[in-house]
Amino acid sequence: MKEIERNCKKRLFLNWFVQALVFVITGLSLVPLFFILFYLTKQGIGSVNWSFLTHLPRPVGESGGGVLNAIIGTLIIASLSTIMAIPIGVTAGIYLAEKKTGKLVHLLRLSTDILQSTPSIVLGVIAYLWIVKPAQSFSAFSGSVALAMMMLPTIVSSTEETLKLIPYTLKEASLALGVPYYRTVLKVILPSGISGILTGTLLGIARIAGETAPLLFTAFGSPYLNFNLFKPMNALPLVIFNYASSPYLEWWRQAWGASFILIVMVLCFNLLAKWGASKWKIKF
Amino acid sequence: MLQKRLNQLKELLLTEAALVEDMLQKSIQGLLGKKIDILHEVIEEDEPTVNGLDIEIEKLCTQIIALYQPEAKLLRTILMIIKVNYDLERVGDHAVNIAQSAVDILPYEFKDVETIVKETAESALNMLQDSINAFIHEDTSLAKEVCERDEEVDRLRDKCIKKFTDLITHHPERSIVFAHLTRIVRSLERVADLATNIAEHALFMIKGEIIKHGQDERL
Amino acid sequence: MEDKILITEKLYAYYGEHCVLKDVNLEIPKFKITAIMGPSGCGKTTLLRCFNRLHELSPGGRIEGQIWLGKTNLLSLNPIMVRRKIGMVFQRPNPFPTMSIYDNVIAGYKLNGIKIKREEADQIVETSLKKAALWNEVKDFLHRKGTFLSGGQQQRLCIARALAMHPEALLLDEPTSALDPKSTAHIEELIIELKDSVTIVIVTHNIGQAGRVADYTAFLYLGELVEFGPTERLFTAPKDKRTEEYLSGKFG
Repeated sequence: MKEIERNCKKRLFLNWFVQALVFVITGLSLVPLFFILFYLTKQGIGSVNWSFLTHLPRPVGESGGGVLNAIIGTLIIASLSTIMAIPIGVTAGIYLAEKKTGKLVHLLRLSTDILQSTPSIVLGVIAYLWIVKPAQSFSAFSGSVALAMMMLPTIVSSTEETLKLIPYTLKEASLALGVPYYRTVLKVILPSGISGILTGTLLGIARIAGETAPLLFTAFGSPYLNFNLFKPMNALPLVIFNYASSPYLEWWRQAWGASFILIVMVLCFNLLAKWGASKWKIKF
Repeated sequence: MLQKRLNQLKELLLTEAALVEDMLQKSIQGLLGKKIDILHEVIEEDEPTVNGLDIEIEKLCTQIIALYQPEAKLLRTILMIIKVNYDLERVGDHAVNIAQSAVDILPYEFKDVETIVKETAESALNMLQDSINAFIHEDTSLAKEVCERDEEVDRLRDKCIKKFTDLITHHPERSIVFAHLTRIVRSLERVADLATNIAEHALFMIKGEIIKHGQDERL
Repeated sequence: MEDKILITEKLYAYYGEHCVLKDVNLEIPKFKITAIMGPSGCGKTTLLRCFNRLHELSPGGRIEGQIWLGKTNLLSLNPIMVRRKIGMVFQRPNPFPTMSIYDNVIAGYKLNGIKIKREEADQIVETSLKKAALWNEVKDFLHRKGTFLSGGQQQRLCIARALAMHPEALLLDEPTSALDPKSTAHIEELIIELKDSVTIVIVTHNIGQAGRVADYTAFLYLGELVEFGPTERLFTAPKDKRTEEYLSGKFG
């Protein structure tokens, strides 16, 4: 009896100990995150004001000036890459989810995985070789192509995973009504998976919005407000990179401000994705 | 589907009960009123009809049990219908026995015992009618009453047989009449027994109580 | 002799090399309820799926032999047309989660791109839901999602969806196996009511269900049609020993 009692106590203690350990370690992992957010807010919030958001950059020495062109540029480049990545990514995702096996499926899955792990700077170089060099000009378009390539794996895999979760019975229900296969995919499967696809896309946007490396060789950056897709265009990550590596105090201050805006934007996309996932969730 | 079959079953059982009552009535009428036609009707027409109904009811009961696996009250009802069906068919057989004996003693007179035979027949017939009513209308008190009346018919039968034995001793030449009358009275007493059975089945069907063989226990 | 609507002749069905149905010769009478029963894996669902050629969609699924829909050779028709003529309801209720109750009922038209007038659509929705005994329960919120309904109601919605296409036959694949007893009883009543307007073939592993609803019953065992006949006859006096054993619970 005593033996059992002692054993029990030991186990209860061990249980308590492990629980506490997990709790502490989890807490530790949150520390860097909160530190980054706190520091960024502290440094950045001071330089963010209405004129910072609505003015173009000024030359060194002149006070004031803002990042309007970079904010608009980021939005344009991100939208364009999303528009390019969605059709290709969703189609590939549908193919993977529907076909399941086969040579092409295997190849597709392999290349998605490789693309996923390709360093972003390499994608920038590729976009440079494909577009910037033949066109003899940096452009927003080439930046979007590089970012679209980055987004692609996220969209492909989120589409595939979402569609795989859709019960087969739903497809059968449609087919049993005499609906052709392609219409079944377009009108039943895709709408049922729309929440997952959108969530995946939003997460993809959040991921590319902060990318700097692919843009260095492509969008390049520009001090002007530019709407021409085939001309260089500014983006927030480029502003941060350029200003932070400059020797001017005023630009450093502005780099903090731009960082703050960027992180707020990314956070917004993440929250939107989370909210959308629960809001558009489809009950089967 | 089940309801349709149950209604069909009830209808068949009612038809059978009515026909059997009718047969008994006719054979007694034929016996006392010396009507040969109706006696032949009982033997040649009614009996095969009852047999047909008996088979029909049994088949329907088997189907209901096989297709619907009835439970509780419905199960008791079906089981008891099977038993009542069997009892009714036996009543039909007794009616035929009576009719056959009646045909055999048609040329003879037996005015001296007519009253008591009639009395026995009437109380047996009443019991049969009441037991069937109790079963159909699920009337517990009527069913209990029928069970108690069984002894009355027994008493009447004993009285009849005693009288017949006496008469045979004094008028040996009439022994054939009384032999047949004894058979008839015995049949009537059996009908009363079967009526009692039907009443007992009614009680079991309604409440699940077994009061057969003098026992009284709940299932 | 009753009219036959679905007839199989020497029907063999395969999944790859695996033979699931062997030499099935079955004649399904029109406007009657025919139950297909048998132990799990006996091929009853496959047989049902041959009738609307859903079997062909399974990997390696193919059939040999003949199937007739009335006087037409079902295998010579376009499978899509076959499926519009023969409706199906599945084990688990599967209303389209993105559509309202209303849209679910006319999904067969919408998804196929068949144009119908608004009034006509209203009419189809109402009659189909009435036939499926669901109208009174849902008429006030036709534009809510079908997935908000209870399991039994969802299954009746699926029946309404199939009926909306005015099918010649309705295939039911264990339609109550995912439902509680009360919903099951409700669906069974509904099935019996429907047989006046549509031929019904129901697959069930519930012997009692076959007994309660079916006019005819087919017993399938290991891919073979062991016995087929009026339900009363099959249940009370089966001719084959295997049927007898199955009905008395020896296997399955």
